[in-house]
Amino acid sequence: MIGAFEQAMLTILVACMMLGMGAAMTPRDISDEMKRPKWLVLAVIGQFTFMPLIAFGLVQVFNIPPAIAIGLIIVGCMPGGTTSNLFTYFAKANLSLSVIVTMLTTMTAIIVSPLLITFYGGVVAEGVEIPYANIVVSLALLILPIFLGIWLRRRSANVGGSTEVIGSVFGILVILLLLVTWVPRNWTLLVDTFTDQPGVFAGAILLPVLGMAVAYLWAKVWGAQVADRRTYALEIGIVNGPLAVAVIALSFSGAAKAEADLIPALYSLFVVITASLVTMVFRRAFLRSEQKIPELL
Amino acid sequence: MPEHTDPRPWLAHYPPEVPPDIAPAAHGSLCDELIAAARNHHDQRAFTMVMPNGMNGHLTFGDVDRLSDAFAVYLRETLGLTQGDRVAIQMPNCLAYPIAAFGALKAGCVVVNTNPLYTGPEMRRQFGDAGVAAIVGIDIMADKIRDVVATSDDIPVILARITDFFPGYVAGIIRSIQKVWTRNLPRIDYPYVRFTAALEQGLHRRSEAASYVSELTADSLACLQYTGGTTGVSKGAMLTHGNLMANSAQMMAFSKTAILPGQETILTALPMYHVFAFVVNLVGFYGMGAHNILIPNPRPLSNLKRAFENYPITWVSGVNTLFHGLVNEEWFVAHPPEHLKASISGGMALHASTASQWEQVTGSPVVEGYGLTEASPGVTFNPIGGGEVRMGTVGVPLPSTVVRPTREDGRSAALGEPGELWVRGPQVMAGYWQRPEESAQVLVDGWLRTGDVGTMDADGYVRIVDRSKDVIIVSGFNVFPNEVEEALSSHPGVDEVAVVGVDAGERGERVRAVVVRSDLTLTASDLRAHAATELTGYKVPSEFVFADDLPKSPIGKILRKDVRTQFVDAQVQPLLTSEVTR
Repeated sequence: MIGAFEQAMLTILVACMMLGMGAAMTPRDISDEMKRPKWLVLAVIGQFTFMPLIAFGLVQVFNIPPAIAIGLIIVGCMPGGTTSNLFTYFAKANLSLSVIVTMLTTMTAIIVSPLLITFYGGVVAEGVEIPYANIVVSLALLILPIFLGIWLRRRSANVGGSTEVIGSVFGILVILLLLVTWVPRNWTLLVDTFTDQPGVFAGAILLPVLGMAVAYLWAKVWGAQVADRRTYALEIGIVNGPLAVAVIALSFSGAAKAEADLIPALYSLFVVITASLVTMVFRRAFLRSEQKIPELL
Repeated sequence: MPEHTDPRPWLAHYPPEVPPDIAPAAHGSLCDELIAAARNHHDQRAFTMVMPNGMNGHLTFGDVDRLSDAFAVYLRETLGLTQGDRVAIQMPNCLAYPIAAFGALKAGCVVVNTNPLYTGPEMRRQFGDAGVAAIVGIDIMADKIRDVVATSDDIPVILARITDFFPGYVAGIIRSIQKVWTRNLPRIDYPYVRFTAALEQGLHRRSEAASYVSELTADSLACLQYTGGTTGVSKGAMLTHGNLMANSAQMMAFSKTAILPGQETILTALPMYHVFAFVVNLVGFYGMGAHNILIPNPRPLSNLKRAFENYPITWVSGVNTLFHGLVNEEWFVAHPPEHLKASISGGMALHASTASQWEQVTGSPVVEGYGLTEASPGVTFNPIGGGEVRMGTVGVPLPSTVVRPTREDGRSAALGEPGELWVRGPQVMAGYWQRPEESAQVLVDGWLRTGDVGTMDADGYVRIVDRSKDVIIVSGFNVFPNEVEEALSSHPGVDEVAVVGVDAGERGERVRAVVVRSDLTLTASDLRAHAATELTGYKVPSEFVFADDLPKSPIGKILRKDVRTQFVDAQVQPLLTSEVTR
């Protein structure tokens, strides 16, 4: 799906981006979130309840054939992805909540994801294996740069601030790279699916969209503040797509793999596009709601 | 009603260590005090400028001393200025500010503090009146100076950058952001000198600065601080070295136990071109060896978050808007500053609700004072550290200061009776620059007639009843109706106009223009756009009311008082939504 060089480059870019995200935080931001564990727990529950359920529901509604549907189910059962942190950052929502929840869901995924995939996937899911190494890599790619970034900011506001700026630029590069490499590689896939299997196409779009919407409402139902609702939306709606691809690579081969890969490939495009739009909306709303004080004090 | 028998009943309310009078200045000029502070705190940080994401640059007291010497030499030797020449300083809070201001003072020049957001016409008027011989500006706002440069004969312009004196890589990143993201570096197509290049030129001869300083006395002019005063025509209050030394000494003496030399950190979010921050933060706290945390732009208030996080702020000087805004920021309430001792409020009335919220959130008092540009500016303050803080009052007169509410016939008002506040003390200005008539109107027999109306309790606490009748106070900034009316009248579709203030709650007041149109197609948006070309943002009316006629006196003078009451509930003309949220 993606070349080794691109993969390595993407990994480095993601690490730099996460270093920047870490540098945007302070130990106090982390401890503030730890002091209100309710929101961490609710986010983890939301991640592994709604996303799999929405994926399963979409399979039923659009009558997606099992060989393809398993891809959607696997995506739905994945933990949060690192790009959710970046989008949360640009949306000016609660970055530290997003980062901690990504860590928690990734760790929880080791046990919960295989169970969920088996539960929702039925017969096709029997051969599914979880690439634990990839989960460990995901975790390392998350935890190490984040804490290094936090440490840098603590040591020097200048180094931290610079890292944050550069990291966010790398984040934009990551997004652009994902789009730029995706489109030429999968263009025919996109067009063919749209014409031949509109249900599959719709499922791949609706998973992130419904995921974000339901997550937002989930937070709202529990009385979360606006910033936390937005964080939930981005955190839960954006899953670790590459991990889904790795799961499929480990579990399937040949034609089965190609079919299972279809939805994760589409998802990784649509999630970037929809999340970018949602982030822009959130960011605008944040800036609008910010306290206005007169031009001069 | 009885009159005051004791001429200074408030002395009984001074905290134990506060003297009734300040000692005569130990130094010849303010420069000697600045030099002494730098000697005493040489290697300590004097100024740190903090960007919204925490990036920062700093100067030690030694740096400020050395570089301001260099700037003084540049002004005198390279530009050929002489003692008494006026130098305009027009910058937001940044590290170049103290160097430029202290450098100009050390050169014996007169600082003309200027709001960097001024429009071309406003700048031309102020610079023309002051007769400035040099302008120190900032690159991000340098485009507006072009107007002035184009119409005046070769006034040299020196431009600093926000990033001057920042570590190199940080400056590089901020410049890149300015170029690519915020795009706020205008093209500069007129000759100018980089601030740092000017310092280079002066640095090798910096020892010569001492000779300029030795020529200065307490009577030498230090600042022309522009103000509308009571009449509304903008004029320069002449503040001498003695005035500034006295007022900073008065305010420091009044907080003696609470301000420890070399140990305080003060948040400077108010602009230093305003007399309040200029004298309290830049002169007063610097003299005490305090660390000034400079905020270039406090809007939005989240720009202050990193500053509060990273520095042990012990003092905040602010206006009601700032305090009220901060206690409504979630991050501030979640982690209020731990080291804060007290906060000082001036510029506009501090609302009781804001004060109590602030105290609740920070666990430290905010005390209100009263002042005006013509008094450099401090006149009264609520006592900190021992005395009684009386809410709803602006406290008691500072040491060596007498305040007297006065009847129209010049006799003292009775206890509790409102009267114009007359002030006497070493902080009272020398007069208005080149305006002997206006000076004579406000400086009479050693008293400054403030035009503000207040009362005094039996024990000397002052309450402000009404600040100068027509002045509109928009979040601490004075807006003079005359100036706004003039700007609006210049529109061909305007027949008559009266500008008044309407209550805007925590923000103070809004500017409302009541307009009689000759061109009935004229809209509020047109008028607003027109005003914005002539006036700085806070002066531009936020509300327009159209009327058929304005109330006038028998001799045809528009009666603002009647305009205010008559049009208080009038229908405000709609503006485009984009304009309303400004």
